[in-house]
Parts: sequence; structure tokens; C-alpha cells
Amino acid sequence: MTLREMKWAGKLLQVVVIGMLGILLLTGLPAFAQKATINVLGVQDPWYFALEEILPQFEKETGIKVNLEGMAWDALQARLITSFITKEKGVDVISVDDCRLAQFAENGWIIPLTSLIKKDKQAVKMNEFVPQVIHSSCTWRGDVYTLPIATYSQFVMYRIDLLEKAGLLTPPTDPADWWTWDEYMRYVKKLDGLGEEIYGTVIVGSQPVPIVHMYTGLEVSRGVRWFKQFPEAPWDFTPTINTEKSINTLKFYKELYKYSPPEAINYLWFDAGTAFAKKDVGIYYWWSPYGYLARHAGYMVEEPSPIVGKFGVSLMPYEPGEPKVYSLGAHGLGIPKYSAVKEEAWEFIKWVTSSEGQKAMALTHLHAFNDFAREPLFNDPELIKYYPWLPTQLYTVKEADGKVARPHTPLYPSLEGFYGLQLNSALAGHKTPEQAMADAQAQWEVIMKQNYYLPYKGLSYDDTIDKTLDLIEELSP
Amino acid sequence: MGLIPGVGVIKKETMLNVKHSSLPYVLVLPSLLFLAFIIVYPLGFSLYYSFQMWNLQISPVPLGPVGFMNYRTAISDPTFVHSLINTLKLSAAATAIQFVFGLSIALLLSENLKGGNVARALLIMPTAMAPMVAGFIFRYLYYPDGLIPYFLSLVRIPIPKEGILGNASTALWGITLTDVWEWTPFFAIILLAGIKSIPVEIIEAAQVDGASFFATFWHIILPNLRFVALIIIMIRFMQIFNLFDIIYAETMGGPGTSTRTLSYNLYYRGLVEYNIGYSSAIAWIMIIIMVIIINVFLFLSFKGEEL
Repeated sequence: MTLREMKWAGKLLQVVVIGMLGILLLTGLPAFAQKATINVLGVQDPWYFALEEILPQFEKETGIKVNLEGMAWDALQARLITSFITKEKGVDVISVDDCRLAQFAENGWIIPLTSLIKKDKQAVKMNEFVPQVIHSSCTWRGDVYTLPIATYSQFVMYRIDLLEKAGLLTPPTDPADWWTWDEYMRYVKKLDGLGEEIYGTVIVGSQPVPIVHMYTGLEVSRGVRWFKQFPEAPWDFTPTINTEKSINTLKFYKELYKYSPPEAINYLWFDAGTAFAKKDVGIYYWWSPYGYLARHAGYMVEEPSPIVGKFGVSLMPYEPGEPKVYSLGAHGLGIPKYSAVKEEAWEFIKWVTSSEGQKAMALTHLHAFNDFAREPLFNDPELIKYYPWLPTQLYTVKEADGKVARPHTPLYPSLEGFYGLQLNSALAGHKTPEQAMADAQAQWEVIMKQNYYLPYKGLSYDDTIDKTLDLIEELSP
Repeated sequence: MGLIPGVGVIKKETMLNVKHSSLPYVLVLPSLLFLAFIIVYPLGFSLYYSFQMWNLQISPVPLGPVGFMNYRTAISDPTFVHSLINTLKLSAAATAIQFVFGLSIALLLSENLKGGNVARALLIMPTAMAPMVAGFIFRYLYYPDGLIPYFLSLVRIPIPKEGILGNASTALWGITLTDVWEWTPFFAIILLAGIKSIPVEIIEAAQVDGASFFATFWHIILPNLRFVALIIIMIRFMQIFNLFDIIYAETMGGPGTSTRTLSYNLYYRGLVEYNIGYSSAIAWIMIIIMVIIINVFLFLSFKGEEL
């Protein structure tokens, strides 16, 4: 080798060494400085976007790096189940839809958080949570499996200007005897009569899932129950949906459809919200996030909708003679069994579901998150400034029972699918309400029998709100 | 060398011939084994589990054999029967329409008209789009206040008040139209390639003999396109038979079961309910139906011909 070649080789070596050090510095060294990285999978509901915005704060405070991955609901379920079956270690925190909790817990795919909460009582402050949320969406067989990141109740939204035009009273924000379903129907008809371009109401009609979410809010308050006995022990999963009450409720829902935009038969969740925000729709009831979503021209966009300042929120109507029960849906954060960094995952869950974390999410730039589960947040004046209906929302959360409205048995997804199909068929006029309910009942019986739930020979758990209250007390500071 | 002169030489030649004739098989064997594994394994997996009770809603592991229960449940489910009828209607209608339109466009483009190259480039755009995106676009175009009902109203075609996708008698046509919009160009391009491969001399000779356009099309172009056309029809039929994306985006199978297809049914049972045993049985029923249809089609199309 000549001297010139040796010099050239030396320079090349220098470049290689410096390059390698640079790469190490850029990629490897920060890993030493950080505690760990956790992978979080969540559904892309409004809470996801709010969380995304406050994540840097969490990373700064804890040194834990978060990879947040959001996806559509169906895709998330597929992704989660694949990760469970393949025992994937790289999924550390997941958002669990309340209707999937029983399945995940029963299969041992997520770990109970009860012992972790016991160790961290002071930080978690379980007694701040509205007990009905924990009962409805976070517990299974006496254990807490998730902590709520977003809780949805149902309330009524109405157009102030149209009600004034129709000479109708403002619906109540506190319980009122006169606010019954019959009265609600009278409002719908009167508003519908205001003009060609005005719809009395809007319903969600798409099968299989969306229609069930809206319909169950109506049926539970009219006394319809899915099973002979659940969640109280002993469990008896004999379906009880082919009853006079149930058929009359479906007739009522069909009547509401008559005063909705005709294409509502294919409306998904957000379509109904968009119709309310963009068309002239008098009154409707839906999940509580549509309160803040109605203020935007599209999903999570900054542009305001044309009805900003023109709509109000009230309580759901009730059925005289029936207990006042509201529907409730929630996403909770849980830890998969196979996560390799459970400690850091728990840190994350505690932080995000804390009062501080939830308040920070509510105050992000879009102000599109108020799906709280902690009672003090509903009374926070700073938050009420942006979400004036919070006290009404608190009432609906406190009166809700998700385990009764949409009983979260492990077989819920199958039952929901068949039910939604029947409800939609009745709306479309393919079946009478009587046929639809008879068919739903028959299909449910087949599903329950084939999956060993009818007769049920497994262990029952007396899953009452009192039991949850005891559990919360045990886990509170 | 053998006792009889020349025998040894023959043996050596035979050995060489055997080596030569088996060499190609030896060379392709690894690929064949690999292909067999990736094709046979999933099929075997689903066949095995179609006879098992395995519903991930109630258990993370199979609960044991159940014989033909999953098959019986599928066949006796009215939803399944509706899905099968819808699938056959959709596959037949969409394939036929796409073929007719695709062939017309191909004939037009084969005429070397001005701007033909630009037209060809633009033509491929819908096919390049993801079906899910096409489904979402058309979903909004079909709304009662959307563009399609507007155009239909201009030519006095009545629109159901629930919208095209909201009415049971028009929803499947809505799905069909979206698929036709997306895939007709694919037909056109493949058929155009087929037309271009026909020797110009034959067409010119026919024209010199005074054959009209229709006579040339009927007696020369169509017979020469036959193989290409039948293969593309078969491929598209199979693809539409498995259509899922557009249905998911536009109707989710509704209203009622009017647009529910076998694929959507399979998706729901498999990827929403996670009933692995049951969805495996549905998958196998679909495979059997498809194999029967394709074999009948091949038999009728190429009877007495060597493929």
C-alpha cells in the first residue's frame, strides 16, 4: 500500500467512525436517557386527538416515550385480537370498548388493575369516579380491568330557534315529570310540521352496530331488558326481547324514523351528528360527545358549524311507570397480559385518567373532549365555560347503567350484530316489528345455546352497583 | 462396458436422458413445495377449524370438535342464504355490465382517435383507486341531495326518498354501479390489448372484402378476443364474488340484508364476532361454490379445446 493509499484509507475510516457515532447518538443514546417506550393502541374517537396533543407533557414529566397508534373501531378490534392470539409483547396499553371488556377479561387477555390501584390509592383516587361508570364499563366479576379515558352518556339536543318558532317549551335539564317519550314524540311532530326543509328529528339506522347504540338508549328507559337475569346472580341468559314492551318500542323508533331524513336508514354514528349540525333538525338524542361535535362543521375540524349558539342540551325523556335508566358507553385503558413494560403502562394510565390529564385533554385547542368519569370535573367552572351542559351530562352519567342497557356479556358482539340487522329490517319495512323481535329472539336463543350460555352452567357473579360501591371504597384513599 | 456391444453406451445415454428429464422437476421442486405450503396450510387450517367449536368471544382456544355444526348453522341461517343470492346477482350483473362497457371503450380506443393516449392514461385512474375510497365517494354521491340523484332527476328517473342506498330495491344497483365505475377501465385496457394483438392484415383483408364494422367485429375481432375475454370475465367474476370494501363503505350490508354478500357475512362473523370455527365453515362453503361455478364456466367456455 502506498502512502497516498494509506492516507485515503485512514480518512475513510475516520468518516465511518464519525458516521457510526452520529447514528448512535441520534438513535441509540436517547434510549438510555429514557425509562422506556410504551405502545398505546386506541380508537380514533375525539379523546384520541386530545390525548395526542397532551402527550409531550406526559413524556416530559415521566421520561416515558409513548407511541400512540390510532385506528378505526373495527380495525382496532382486529389488531387487538391478533396481538392477543400471537402473544405480542409490543402492545402495552389498549383502549377497551366497554362492550368488549367481558370478552377480554374472561379470556385472560388483559390484566386486572385492582392490585395496582390498591398500591396507588392516593394517586388513583377511585372515589372521584362516578360509580356508575366504573360499574358499567370497567369491572368484570368484581375486578377493575380498565380506568375510563372517555365516558359517553346519552342526552337530548335541540335547536333553540326551531323550538321557539314552534312555540315549544325548552326541554328540562333537571328531572321533570312532563318530559316523557310521548311528549318527545309530540315535539318531534310539531317541529317536523314547521316546513318542508325541517326534519322533526334524526335517527341512526345503519345496521349492524350503530342502530343498536341509539335504539338501546330508548328501549332501556322503556323497561326492555335483554335477559331474564343479568347482571344480578344467578345469571339466566334466556332472551326477553320478544315482548309487548319491546315491540312497542320498535314501533316508536319506526315512528321517529318517519320524521327523520329518509336516508337516515343508512346513517352511521357521525352521520346523525352531521345531519343535526348541518340540516334543520329539530330535536334528537345521541351520545354526549355529539354535544361538542355539533359545534364543528366536520369531524375534528376547526371550522364552526352553522348551528353554533343555536342548540341546547337536555335530559333524555322517561317512560312513566318504568325506572329511569340511561345508556352508557365508555373506552377504558387496560394493560394486555403480554405487555413487557406493565409498570410504565400503569404510569401512563394513571396519568391520562387523572383529573389533571382529563382536564388538559378538555382544554386542547379544539375544545372537543368532555367525556369525563371523575365527578369534580363536571363541576369545574373553567370547564363549564367551554362545555356548559356538563351538569346535565353528570346527571345522565349518574343515572346510567351500561350493564343493563347493553349487557356486556362475552357474546355481546354476536347478539348486537343480529339485533341490529333485525331493527334495520323493521325500519326498512322488510319485516314488521313483531317479526323482527321474534326473529331476534330466536337467533339469540340459537347463539346462546351453541355457545353454552343457555342454560348457563358457568359461575355467576352478583354484579350489582352495591358491589361496585364496596369495591370503590376498598380501593379509595 | 457390457457384453453386448453398444449396450453400455445406451445405458449411459438413458441415464443422461433421465437426468435431463428430471432436472427441471428438481429445480422447481423447492418453489412448488413453498407454494404448496403457503396455499395448502391456510386451507388446511381453516378446514380443520371449520369442524371445531372455536369462538374467541368465549374462549381463547378451541373447545373441541363439533362435526358439521358450523356448516349446518351457516346454511340454515337466513342471512347466509340472502347473502348468497345477493352475491350471485351482484357478480353476474357487474361482470356483464363491465364487459359490455369495457369492450365498447376498447373498440373506441382501438380506432386511434385524437387524444386516445390521454384517454387511456385517464381511464386507468378509477381502477388505481382503493375500492374503500371509491365506496366512500359514491356513498355521498348517492345521498338524496347528492350528484347522482340530481342527474337522474334531470332525465326524469325517479329516486327513492331514502336515497339509492337506503332503498332495498336500488341499493344493490348502487353497489353495482360503483364497482362498474371502478373496474370497467380495467376491462377496457385488457380488451384493448387483445384487440391490438389481432393481426392488422386480417382486419384490413376483411375491410377490402367489404365487411361492415359489425361484420368485422362479429366475425374477426370477437373470435380473436375470445380467450382474453373469457379469462378476464372469469377473474372479475371471482373478484366481485369476494367483494367487500365497497359494501362496507356504502351500506354495511343494509338496508336489511339487501346488500349483504357472502364476503361481508364472512367479515362480520370472522372479524367482528371472532367466531373462528363458524367463519371457517363459511369460507369453505364460499370456496366450494366458487370452484363449482368456475369449473362449469371453464367447461362450457372451452369444451373440447386444449387450454
